[in-house]
Amino acid sequence: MTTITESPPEVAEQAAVSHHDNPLERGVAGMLTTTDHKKIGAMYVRLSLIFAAVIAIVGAVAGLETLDADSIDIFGGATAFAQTLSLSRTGLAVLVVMPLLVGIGTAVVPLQVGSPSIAFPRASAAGFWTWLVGAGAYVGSFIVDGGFTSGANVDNRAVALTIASLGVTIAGLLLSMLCIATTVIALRPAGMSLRRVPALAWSMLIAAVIWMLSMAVLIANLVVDYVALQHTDRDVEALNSIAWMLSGPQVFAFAIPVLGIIGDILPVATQQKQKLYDVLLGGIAVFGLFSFGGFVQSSYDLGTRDVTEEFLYIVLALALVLPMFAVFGGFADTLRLGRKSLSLSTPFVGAIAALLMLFAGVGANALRVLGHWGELGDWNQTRIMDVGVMNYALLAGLLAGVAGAFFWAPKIFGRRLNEGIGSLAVLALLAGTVVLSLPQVIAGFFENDQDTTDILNLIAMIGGFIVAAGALLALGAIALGVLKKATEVVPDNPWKGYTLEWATTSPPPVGNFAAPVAHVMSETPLLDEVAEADTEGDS
Amino acid sequence: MDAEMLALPPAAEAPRPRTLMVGTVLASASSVMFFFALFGIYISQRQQTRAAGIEWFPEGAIRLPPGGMMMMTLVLSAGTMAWVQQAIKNDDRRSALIALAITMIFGGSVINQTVFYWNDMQIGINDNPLSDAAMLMFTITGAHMLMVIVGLVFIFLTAMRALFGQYNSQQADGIHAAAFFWYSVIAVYSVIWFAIYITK
Repeated sequence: MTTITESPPEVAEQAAVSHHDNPLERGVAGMLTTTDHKKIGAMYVRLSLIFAAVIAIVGAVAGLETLDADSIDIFGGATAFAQTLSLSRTGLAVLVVMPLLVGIGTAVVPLQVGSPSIAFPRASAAGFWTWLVGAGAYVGSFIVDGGFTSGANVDNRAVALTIASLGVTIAGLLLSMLCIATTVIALRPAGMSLRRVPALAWSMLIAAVIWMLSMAVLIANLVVDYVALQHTDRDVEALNSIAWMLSGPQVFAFAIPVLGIIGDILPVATQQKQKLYDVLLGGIAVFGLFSFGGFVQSSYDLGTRDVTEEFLYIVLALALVLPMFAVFGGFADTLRLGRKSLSLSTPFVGAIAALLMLFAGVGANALRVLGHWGELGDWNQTRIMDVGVMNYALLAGLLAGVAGAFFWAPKIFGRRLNEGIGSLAVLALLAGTVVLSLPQVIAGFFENDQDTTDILNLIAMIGGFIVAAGALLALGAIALGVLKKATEVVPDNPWKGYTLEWATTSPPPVGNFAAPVAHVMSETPLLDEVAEADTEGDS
Repeated sequence: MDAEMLALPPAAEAPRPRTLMVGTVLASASSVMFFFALFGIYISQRQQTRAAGIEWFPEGAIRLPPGGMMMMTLVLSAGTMAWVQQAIKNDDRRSALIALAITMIFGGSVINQTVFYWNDMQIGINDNPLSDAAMLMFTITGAHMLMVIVGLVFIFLTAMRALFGQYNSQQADGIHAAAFFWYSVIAVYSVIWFAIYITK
C-alpha cells in the first residue's frame, strides 16, 4: 500500500519562499545568497577538494624537510617549519575532511529523508560562510607568521588569529551539522523511523552529535588559550590543547560518516540489500560513541599521570575495533552475496578503499594504544605513529568523500562525473594513503633507528605527493563535469539506488520532490515500490 | 458537494515538525558541553596549583552574596519561564507576554549583577602569574554572560512572535525551545555558583 502524506508545512513554506524565481538565485549573487542545501553542499565539496590539493602539497613539501631537518630548510627556520606542519595536519581535518563530509551531508541527507529542504536553511548557509571566512583567516594567519605557539620570536597577534579562526572554522561546521541532524530527527516522512533512515543520514546524525559534543570541548580549550594570550602575560602552547583532536580516538569521529557512505554505496553497487541493517546502524552508533575523545587532553592531566595512560582511554581505544569488525563483516557479507552483479564503478572502488583504510587505521590505533602498557614495548613514545593513525583515518574520510561526491553527483551537481578520471583519483588516493600512512605507523617501532626512520620518512613523503595528485584528479573530474556543457540527460536513478534521493530528478527540482513523498515501509523504499509493482502485475 | 460531505469535520492538520525544539536541544547540549570542558580545565588546574602549594584565589577575593543573589534571580526567572509555558498551554497569551517580559528583566538583571560582581572582586585577570584562577574565572563567567545574552535574544524574538499571534496551545514550539535554552543557562550558572563562587 502506498500512502501519500502531506509535506511538513513549515519546511514546504521555507522551500517555497527560498527558491522562488528570483534573479538573486543566479550567478554570483545566487551563490552568495542561496539557502538551497544542494548548492551549499556543492560549494562545500568543491572548496574542500581545493583545500585538499593545497594541504596535501604543503604537507608533502614539509615532509621533504623532515628527511634531513639539519640541512634542508625550505620554510626559513624551525618555527616556520613547525607552523607549516601544524597547518597541514589540522587543515586536513578542518579544511578538507570535515567540510567535504558536511557538504555531502548537507546536499544529500534532506533528499534521503524525503524533505523538501534542510532544517534551518539560512543557518546552514550561515554555517558554510562562517566556515569559509574562518578557513580563509586560518590559512592567512599562518601566512602572517601565526601558529599555535606564542613567544618572543613570533607575532602573538597572528597566533591569536590562528586560535580564533580555528574556533570560527569549527563553529561554522558545527552549525551546518546541527542543521543536518535536525533534518534527520524532525523532517522524516511518515513511516521512516530512525531504524529506516539511510546509512548516510544515520551516520551524519551520529557524527553531528559526537562532533557537537567533542568539538565544544576543543572550542573551550581554544577560548582559554585565546584569553590567556590576549589578557595575560603567559605564553601559550595551543598545540597541546588541540593535539587530542588529531589523535585516536577523536580522529575517528571525523570518519563516522565514512561508514554511512559505504553503507549506502555497497548495497547499490552489488544490487544486494544490506542484511542485518540494524547491526549496521548499531555498529555506526557504537563506533561514534567510542570515538568521543573530548576527555583525552593535557588540560585534564592531574599532574601525576598522563590521560592516555588511563585504563578508560586504553579500553575505549581497543573497543573501537569491535564495531569496526561488526560493520566490516556486514559489508563483506553484502559483497559476497552480490559479487555476481558487482560493477566496478568509482564510488564502489572508493568505498572499498575507504573501508580498508579506516580498518587499517583502527587496527594501527589499537597497536599504538597497546604501547601505553609499558610491558609490551615503547613504540608509543614517538609522535610519528600517531600521525600515521591520523592519516589513515582522515584520508579514509577523503576517499569516502570523493566516492560519495561521484555517487551522488547527479543530485549534488546535476551531472555524472567522468568515471575514468574518478577511478584514477581514488586509486591515487588509495595508493597515497598506504604509502604515506603505513611507513609512519611502522616508524613507530623504530624510534631509535635513524637510518630506518629516514627511509620510512622518504616513502611517506612520496605518499604525500601521491595523495595531492589524487585530490587534484578528483577536483579535475568535478570541474570537468560541472563546466562541460550539459548535453546528456542525467537519469533520475543511474545507479539503481534504493533510497529516496533516487526517487527525484537529477538535479532535484525546487522543493526537492515534485510530489509528496510516499509512506516509507522499509530502509529501501524504492525496492519496496518495485516489489509492489511486481505484486500488482502478477495479480 | 452534498450536505453530508459539508457536515464532515475538517481534515486533521499535519503535525508540525519540531525543528526549533530539536535544534535548540542540540545547541544547548553543545553549549553545556562547552562549559563542562571549561569546568574540567578549572578543576584540574586548581588541583595542580594547590598541590604545588600555590594559592588559587587570594583569601577574601570573592564575596559570596552577589553570587547568591544571581542564583536567586535565575531561579526566579525559571519560575517566570515556567509561567510562560503554562500560560501558552492555556492559550493565555496576555499572561505569557507578561511572564516573558519579567523573564527578560531578570535576565538583564543577571548581566548587571555579573558586571557588578566582576568590579566587586579584589582580583585582576593578570594579577597572579602563578595561578590561572582569575583568568579561568573571568573566561567562564564571561562565556556564561554571553550565553545569557543569547538566551535573552531568543526570548525577545519569541516574545515578538507571541505578540504577533504566532503561538497558541497547539503550536508553542518556539516558547518551549526558548524555555529549554533558558533552563540550560540556569543549570550552567548553578555549577558556576557552586564550583567557582562557593568552593572556589
